[in-house]
Amino acid sequence: MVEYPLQGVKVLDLTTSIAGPYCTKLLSALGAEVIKVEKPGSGDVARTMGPFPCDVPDTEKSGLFLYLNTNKKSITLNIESKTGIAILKKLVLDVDVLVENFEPKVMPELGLSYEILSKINPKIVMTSISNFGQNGPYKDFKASEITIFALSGLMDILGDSGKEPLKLGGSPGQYAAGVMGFTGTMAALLNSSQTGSGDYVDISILETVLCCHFQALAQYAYTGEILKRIRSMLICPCNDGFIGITVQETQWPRLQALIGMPQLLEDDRFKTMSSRRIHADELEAYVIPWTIERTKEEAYRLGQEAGLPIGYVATAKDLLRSEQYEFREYFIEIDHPVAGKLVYPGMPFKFSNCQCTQERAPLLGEHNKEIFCQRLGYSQKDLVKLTQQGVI
Amino acid sequence: MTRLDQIRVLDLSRYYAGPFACWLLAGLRAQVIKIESCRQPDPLRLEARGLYPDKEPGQKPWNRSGMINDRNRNKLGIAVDLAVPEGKGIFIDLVKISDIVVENFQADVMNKFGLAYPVLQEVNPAIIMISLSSQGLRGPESHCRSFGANLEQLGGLLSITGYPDEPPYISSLSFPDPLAGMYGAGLALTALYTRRKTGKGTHIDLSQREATTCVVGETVMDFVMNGRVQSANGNRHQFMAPHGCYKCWGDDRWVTIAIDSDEAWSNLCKLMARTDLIDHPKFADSLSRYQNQGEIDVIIGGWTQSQDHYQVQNKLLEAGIAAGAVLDASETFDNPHLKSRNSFESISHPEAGTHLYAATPLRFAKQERAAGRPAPRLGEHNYYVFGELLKMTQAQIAELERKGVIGSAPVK
Repeated sequence: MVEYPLQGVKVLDLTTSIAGPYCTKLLSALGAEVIKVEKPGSGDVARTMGPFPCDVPDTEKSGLFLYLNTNKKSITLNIESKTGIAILKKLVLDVDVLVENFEPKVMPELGLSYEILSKINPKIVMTSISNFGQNGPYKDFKASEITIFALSGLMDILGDSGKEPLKLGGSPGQYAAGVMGFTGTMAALLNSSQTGSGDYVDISILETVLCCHFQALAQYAYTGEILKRIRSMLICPCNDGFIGITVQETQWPRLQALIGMPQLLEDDRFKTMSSRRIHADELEAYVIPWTIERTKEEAYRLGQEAGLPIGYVATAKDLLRSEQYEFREYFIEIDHPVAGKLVYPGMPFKFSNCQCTQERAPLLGEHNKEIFCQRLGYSQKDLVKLTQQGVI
Repeated sequence: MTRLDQIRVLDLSRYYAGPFACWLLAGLRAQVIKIESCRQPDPLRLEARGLYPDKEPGQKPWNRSGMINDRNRNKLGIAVDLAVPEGKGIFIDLVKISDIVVENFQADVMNKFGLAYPVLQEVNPAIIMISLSSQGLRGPESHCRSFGANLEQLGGLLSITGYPDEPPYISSLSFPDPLAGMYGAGLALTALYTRRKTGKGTHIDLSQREATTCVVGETVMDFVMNGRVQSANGNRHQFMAPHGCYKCWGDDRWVTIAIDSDEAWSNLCKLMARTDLIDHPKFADSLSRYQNQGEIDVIIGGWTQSQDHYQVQNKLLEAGIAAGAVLDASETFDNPHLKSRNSFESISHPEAGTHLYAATPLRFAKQERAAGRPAPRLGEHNYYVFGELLKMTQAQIAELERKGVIGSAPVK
């Protein structure tokens, strides 16, 4: 009886920061064993990115690291040293998947290209997540979440028409690339488990964000028109935050009924969806007296009961109190020897007949003994030497 | 056997999230059958928002909708009324010979059709069902109406998106939809992998709202650890500076720049012919740059404002600096890097003409991508699916058409 969907799958994880680690977090939550290979001394850069409890930096207490690396094992290994590479190759022999998110030249320069690794282990699936992909004129250029968002065409349509365009908050493009990496890895793993022959998965963060276009690309391809930044929704203040209301044709009368202003139905300024967009400020002025007297969750509930697809602008605080999230048991509490008991976002899905597993993130090099000694046969004294030599 | 090109997917989904998941699976060469009905085709066929070739709806506008044609490439299409017994029977027969069912209806709809997972599982214990609902299939808000834009709000993404000290800025990106679609495709493949060992399918219940919260996980950690509610910070970064969007020459032209090291700062100053700033006490180290980024932003803006956004981007990239021009749709299609990667594909649709679309980002060294086939017209593959796959006779199919159980045009 299989307990986890990916029971028995072994993953070697060279990734850092967000995109790669989110990919391997999904694999580990689904039951794969993920061995995270970190730089000796400092480890994954996410250990420095926080947030930190009481704003006191600590390698073992970075919120981003703790969240992204649940369930993984950590070994320290200097893969820029010959000995480190030799050890890595021993580990490669035994795994199903290797995931990395370095700049494209790094793995080939280290002698760890897919050509070489697949000779060592023909069934291996190697997944590379990079900013621009493994080839093309931009492949070695530097990038960041904002620059990729700009190049994808998505930034051009977000924000106020009179101001600079906006990026989405946080790093959603990198997270999405992690999910895309997970999907590509599973496709290759499925094939490799049948044929015994692996594959190389090339995921570009830019291409991932690019394919998230809803309308702008199709608009240009079909009509030659460039979509402009427009207000697509009313944002109304409540007494404790904001709600967003979009009003399509069938729903317009329901909004009138909700706020008790039937005379607006006759108002020419608001007759069609596009005219409502143009006169959004004026429309908001009518709606705000209703919303400002209510909390955002109350306005959300009443609006939904009236058949309107209203949402409220939720903060992390709101979500931790959400009855829906509580019902779904989305948040989980995990204990950690240094960071203590904390509540974490969980997995956004449930399997009907399988579980997910989300144990705590590892301490830096926590599993050196388990992996190097028990699995690879090094002695404790060897580990001391390797540490002194800067290999682990 | 679970070779991807022998997998059959029944795509009951509409709008964006589900169709996107199935588009990814179709790109992996799975056989995807998009299932609509004439009474209720995918709403994007009829709510095309004027997105027709050259804005002309034509004789059959439901086959010319840009968003449908984008999201449903590489799929077969049938139109069958699941609300009548014969239609439901056809669907059940298809479930018997398929591997995956994807749906993104509101929480209770599959139940109302009498086609919830327990029914499908009885018919085919190996069937894998993926439900991509807004908030999950059960729970006090599972019945709430949602779509991409309000899921950005409900999931926590919008509270950190916007100009500083202003009300949140709603996007028209519908980002939660493709995000959920990516999860959906990956989870379907995971279930196929597990099924190899167990022979059994499963039902996966994904909440788009929760999927959105996952990508702002660190904001949850900040509240849990510090009781702090993060707010929107425009185009600034938590710790990188300078970092933002700068006005360039021309109407609404901008370039984004992110400086992440002393070296990048030094290279930027050289490009701007302001080497005096490199070691200036206000800007020499990363902390002082962060504290004085307002001043730096003005200096950079002064430098970019007279330059073409693409040219300044290229100068910056060549100098080892992270930069990206804010490209509009036409420029995106023309981006030399994306063109060289074949990130777009040209597809000819029999009723909508030939257009460029973003190709699947799932690329492999060995596994081939699906050949780019156009999205199906409504009911286009009725005869193939009912005749070849379900072994119905021509007479049987004609009778179903006559009764209105199947068809190829919308009806009221």
